[in-house]
Amino acid sequence: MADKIKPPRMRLGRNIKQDEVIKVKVRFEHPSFTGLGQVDTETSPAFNRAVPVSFIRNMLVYYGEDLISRFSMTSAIADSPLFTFKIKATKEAPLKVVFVGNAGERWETVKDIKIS
Amino acid sequence: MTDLTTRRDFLRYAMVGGLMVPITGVSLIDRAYAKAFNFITDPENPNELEKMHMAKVTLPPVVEDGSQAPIQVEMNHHPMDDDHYIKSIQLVSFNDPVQTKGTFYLSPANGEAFLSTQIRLNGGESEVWVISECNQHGRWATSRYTKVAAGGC
Repeated sequence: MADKIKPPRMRLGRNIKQDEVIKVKVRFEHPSFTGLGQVDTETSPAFNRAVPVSFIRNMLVYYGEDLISRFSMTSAIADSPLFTFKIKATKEAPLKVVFVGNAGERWETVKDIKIS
Repeated sequence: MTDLTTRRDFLRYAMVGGLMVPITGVSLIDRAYAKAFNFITDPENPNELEKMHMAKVTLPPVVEDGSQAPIQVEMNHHPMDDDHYIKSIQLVSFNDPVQTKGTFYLSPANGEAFLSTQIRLNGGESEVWVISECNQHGRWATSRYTKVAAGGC
């Protein structure tokens, strides 16, 4: 489990061509925990709330001014996840990925898409 | 019109009517459930529509650490046009205490429906469902089995 939160990092490919579909990788070191502890496998329910829950609730992807994707998550997403998704490079514009934590905190990472 | 004034007739019709309501109700629910999700009938020999909506799901058959189960969903046969595109990809595992992992909402600007991430899975055998939604052809469900050595929930 990641102990502390580090700013998200984004990686894009080089030599992006017009209308090319490119892979975007975003790593966010964020502790994620369901908060559930196993009580007893014989009893039902087998889990209870052991510690406060902590997770990334939303990942928002902006291309220029437009919101093009949104990943809505639960506490069942792994610790410090690496997200990979694709976008179509139609214009030279900043690509911004915003993360929202379960308590409403926000982090973001931005990279410019330059078409060669 | 039949006269239903006698108590015996009233009870007879009421009983038949009472039986018919749950029977037709169950049938309607089944039909609604069948329409809610589309499944690939024969993955070896899919038709054109099924091939287009068939998600390629990559999940290891054995996951050592259930807190970091890598999953990749790819739908490269489906167009991402303004009028025909994949709206969302949802990851679900019904064996886990937190069943829904997340939903990835897409738009035509994505160019291709693709998602790779890591999820938490409970220990033991697990069936992970991937539900993709097309704006024209509804929801398509597919699943993969995996064995998780150490549970991550």
